[in-house]
Amino acid sequence: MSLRARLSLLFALGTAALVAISGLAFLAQLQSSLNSALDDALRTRSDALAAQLRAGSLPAAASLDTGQAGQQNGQFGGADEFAQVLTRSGTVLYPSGAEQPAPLLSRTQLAQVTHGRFTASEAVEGEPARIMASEARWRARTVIVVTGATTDVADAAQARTRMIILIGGPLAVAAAGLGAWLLTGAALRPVYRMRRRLDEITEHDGDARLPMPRTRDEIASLAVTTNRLLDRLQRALTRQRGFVADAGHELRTPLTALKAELQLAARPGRSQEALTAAVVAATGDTDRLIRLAEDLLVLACADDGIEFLTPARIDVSGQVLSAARSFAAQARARGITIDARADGDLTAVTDPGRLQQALGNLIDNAIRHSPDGGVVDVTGEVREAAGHGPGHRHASEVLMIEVRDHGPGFPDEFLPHVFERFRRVGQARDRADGGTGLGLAIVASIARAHGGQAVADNHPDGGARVRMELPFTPD
Amino acid sequence: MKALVVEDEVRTAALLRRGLEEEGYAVDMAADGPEGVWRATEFGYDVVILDVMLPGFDGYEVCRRLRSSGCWIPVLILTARNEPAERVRGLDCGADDYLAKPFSFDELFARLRALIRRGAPVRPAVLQVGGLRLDPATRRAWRGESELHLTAKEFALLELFLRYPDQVLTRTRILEHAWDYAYDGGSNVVDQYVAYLRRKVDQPFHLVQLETVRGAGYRLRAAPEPRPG
Repeated sequence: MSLRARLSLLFALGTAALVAISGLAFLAQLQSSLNSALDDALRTRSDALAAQLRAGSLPAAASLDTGQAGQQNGQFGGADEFAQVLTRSGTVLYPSGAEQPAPLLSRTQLAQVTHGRFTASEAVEGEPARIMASEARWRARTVIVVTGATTDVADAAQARTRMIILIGGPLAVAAAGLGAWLLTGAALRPVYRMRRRLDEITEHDGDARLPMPRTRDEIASLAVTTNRLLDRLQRALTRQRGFVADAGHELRTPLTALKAELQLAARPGRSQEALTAAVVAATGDTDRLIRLAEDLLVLACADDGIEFLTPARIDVSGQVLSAARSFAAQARARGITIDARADGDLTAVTDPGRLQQALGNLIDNAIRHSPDGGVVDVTGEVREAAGHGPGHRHASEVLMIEVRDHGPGFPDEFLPHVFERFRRVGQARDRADGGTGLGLAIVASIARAHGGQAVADNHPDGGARVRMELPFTPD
Repeated sequence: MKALVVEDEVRTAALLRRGLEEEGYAVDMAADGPEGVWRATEFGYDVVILDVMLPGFDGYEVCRRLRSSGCWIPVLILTARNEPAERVRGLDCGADDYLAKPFSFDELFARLRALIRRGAPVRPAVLQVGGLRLDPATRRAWRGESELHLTAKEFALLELFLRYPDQVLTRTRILEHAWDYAYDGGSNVVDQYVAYLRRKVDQPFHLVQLETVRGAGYRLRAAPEPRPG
């Protein structure tokens, strides 16, 4: 059921309950006030009769039993009034005459009178009436005075009131429901408009936004929030498209070289040496394509989060040292020394394969940016967590793996983009020396997958410094 | 034939040079945008092969700068950016052809031959004659600084006149250019549309540039004259 229908129904039900309760209360109140007015009149007459009896006389026959007497009370025109005087055994003393009427009181009621005055509503000669009975003295005897009046007029008033409530109540309920329906419709109109607009927005019109309602209410703030969400989605989409375009460009570049190399080699009249050179060059292009494909695959896995990590409890210091060793030959070729240090017990739960990969990317990067004969520092240690970054909120200690070179360092304007995909300091130069432009992006992905983060800065004494901060929990 | 290759990627540049040289071209290289513009304008080449992603400024900018400095050497854009939007952008910047990487040498050579055949006539991307300016790519036209709001037919007529300044265009020629073969409405529709065009191009500026040549047709003067009276 729609919100609008639900609200309208709820409002109608509430109104119905209100009308029913107040109607019943009003009817009960009416009944009791009618009765008390009747009782007052009966008491007056009863007292007058008792006084007359005390004086020793019985009223003339039927003088108190007149259809018009009620008019003297003024209040309930048309009510029939009547009276009886009974002995304690129930014999009718008054009115006396040829047709002796039946006593107005039953035997139990006669007994009740001895306890005092009482009133009752009952049918007298088939008409609804109210009677009052009390004891009085007459000629040294105790007699019972009964006065009564028919209540048909009061009953008619009640019936009319009940009728008004029964007809007016449902009308009020219907009006309330309809009003709620129209009001909620008006209140929700901007919501319908927003929904229709959202339905029309596709991934292709990235600039499409919700129109802002002129009001400053909850619906306007919903529009603001939704537009912010659309902004974020558009930024993510733009980033994704940029990445795909970059990846296409990066893949096509070595493919272009490979294809050109092979086409030239296929021309007639190539010497053995030329062909060998072409095959070697083509192998180089192929290697670069393989690296690029592997790196893209790693990033795709990291983005999906599927089976990216296979963590184990390992000694990270051993990992650091062995990674440094595996690059020793490559470093030595340019006279570079790798100074690896891993202090203390660095046993932690990490994925050894991914950690090796990240370390490899860091060291490879550092060697490529080192001057010939320089030093690359590789450090693994546990430090007190300096800040409480999102990645290691609960850890008081972090496992730091840091690689520093003594090259020119990152240009300041490049620092915020160090871990972005296909970002390079010098486009042409770096591509030529073998970087895919994805190495540090992969380092950042691996650090994030471990619940940590990657940080890049320049050492105060020069040289680029990149470190992974991983959560460290001893045992 | 002499070719300039503007390409920053070392491997691709070397391979292009080898391939072109084997085909008989004399090849010069430039590794970034500014060097490309400088070489192309300073030395005579028969063709320029231009990469898009270049240090300095990109290939589109190289193209724009060449054309705006009056250098009409045929330019072939050779790039790994292969989206249709990129190709459109390249051609609208004044390039003559577009080839995507990875490319085939045979196709590259064929396209270069075709470009060189056409030579280097003045073929601006934006037409300009005596205060009138028209950009076919954005479909906008101006008289001086004020933009003209033309219908599609008026735009087609103005483009035709701007391509042949100071030449008499007969009604038949105009009809053939701006109306399709199936049109059968007589040639006074040309008079009607030329009148519309004058009302937007000449009259508001109190000039006479689009003039009637009695008994022959119409002519767009290279320089407008103030309207007599």
